[in-house]
Amino acid sequence: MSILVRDLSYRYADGRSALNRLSFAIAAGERVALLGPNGAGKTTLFLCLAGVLRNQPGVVIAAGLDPALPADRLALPRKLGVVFQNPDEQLFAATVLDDVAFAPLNLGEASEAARKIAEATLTRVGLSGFGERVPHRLSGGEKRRAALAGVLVTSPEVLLLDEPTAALDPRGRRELADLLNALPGTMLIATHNLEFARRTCTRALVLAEGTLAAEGPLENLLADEAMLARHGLV
Amino acid sequence: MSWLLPEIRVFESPASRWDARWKLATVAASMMLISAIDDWPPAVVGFAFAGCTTLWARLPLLVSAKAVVGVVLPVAPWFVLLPILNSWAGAAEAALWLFRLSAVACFGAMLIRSTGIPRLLEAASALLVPGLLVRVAQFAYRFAFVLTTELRRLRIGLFTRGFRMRSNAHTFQTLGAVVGGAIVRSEARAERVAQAMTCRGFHGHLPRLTPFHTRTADVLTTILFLVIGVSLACATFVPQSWLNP
Repeated sequence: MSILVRDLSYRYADGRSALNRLSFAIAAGERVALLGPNGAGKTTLFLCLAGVLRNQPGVVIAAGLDPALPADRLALPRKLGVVFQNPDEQLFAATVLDDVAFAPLNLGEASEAARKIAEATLTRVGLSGFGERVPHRLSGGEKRRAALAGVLVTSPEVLLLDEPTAALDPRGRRELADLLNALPGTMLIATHNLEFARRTCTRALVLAEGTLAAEGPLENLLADEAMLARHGLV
Repeated sequence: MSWLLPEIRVFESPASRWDARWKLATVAASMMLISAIDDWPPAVVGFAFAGCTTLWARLPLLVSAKAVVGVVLPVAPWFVLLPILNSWAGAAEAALWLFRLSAVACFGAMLIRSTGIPRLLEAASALLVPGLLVRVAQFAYRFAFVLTTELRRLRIGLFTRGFRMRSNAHTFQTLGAVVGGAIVRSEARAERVAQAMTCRGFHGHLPRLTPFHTRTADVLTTILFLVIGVSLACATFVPQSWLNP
């Protein structure tokens, strides 16, 4: 099992419940869409899986590691990558190459090796020659690709993508879908874009108010218009 | 008026190939030595030397001039205009300040425009400037661009809804709300940036992709700068009897 979540709950400091006894499992290599309206708890779930939000009741296993354990948490960035909704919050280094090389350098790679891996990853996401560019001068689609490169550079087994199509035009969405389809590994993609989910995923989880409202093959769920309408997805 | 920060262009030159650590330490020392000059002939020579370093760094004249104006103008009322209005001796003092400030500005322009802020901050970190200070500066530099882009969008949003700058309470309240909102949003953004960094294995140390290498030329350039700087600073303290036997 690539991702296992059992009875996971999370409550914010102000008492608001973000996740409520959530349980699901994702097999290795599966592509799963995480659907749900704004505020359903998708980002919070990603942060729990990545070990950023801790001390919550329930069990979380991601890429065979338990984020609750300090030793596993240290190893997690090598096996699990998170692409955040806003690439400006992910790209913080002075140049694109510095940013992409950030994770391998953190994980102990020598600078020359990290540079080579980062350059190869930039080529892989179609940003060859963008290494010396400054992040704030990139277009929305380029920023998205650079953020993705910063995560793919460690070849994670599990990839979590939070609203990857936000601010992308139709061509950008198509190219991103092609890029993701060419990647190996397990993917959990939080999106409101049902067409994008159809292009990239085979299964879906529907999250509503922190609980699992529905799960199953994506096409079956997308055919259930009443359920989609009930959860604000159409 | 544009609310976007201008990009700091780095000019390729022999100065840009000078190891950033040596360059930062040397230019900081040179600035201090020039500031210690208390006589106007060495101050003129110091300014000429600083000007030459901007040429060596292949800075366009306009860039150097802007740097000098940017440093001199804010302090001119106190260190230049007031002494001139006071007396002839004051005018000489003002000239001394003018040359020292201009020299410091030229050194600063040469340092920044031949290195770039991100590399300078890495050099500062390598020179044992406290890591927290360097990281704060690095993030401030990166996100200043994001913040100004956001402020620009907010400004456009205000103007499209009929807002016009006036000297009234409504204008000040609106601007206060815009700036306050930007600060609150920055705090939320800082938390999300920290989360993204944690997910990528950040443990409190920002690694460097390009390592520093010291070459013989770096050391020789440093020695040359320091010899000139120390000579000029010492010239201030040479007894007048030596100069006028």
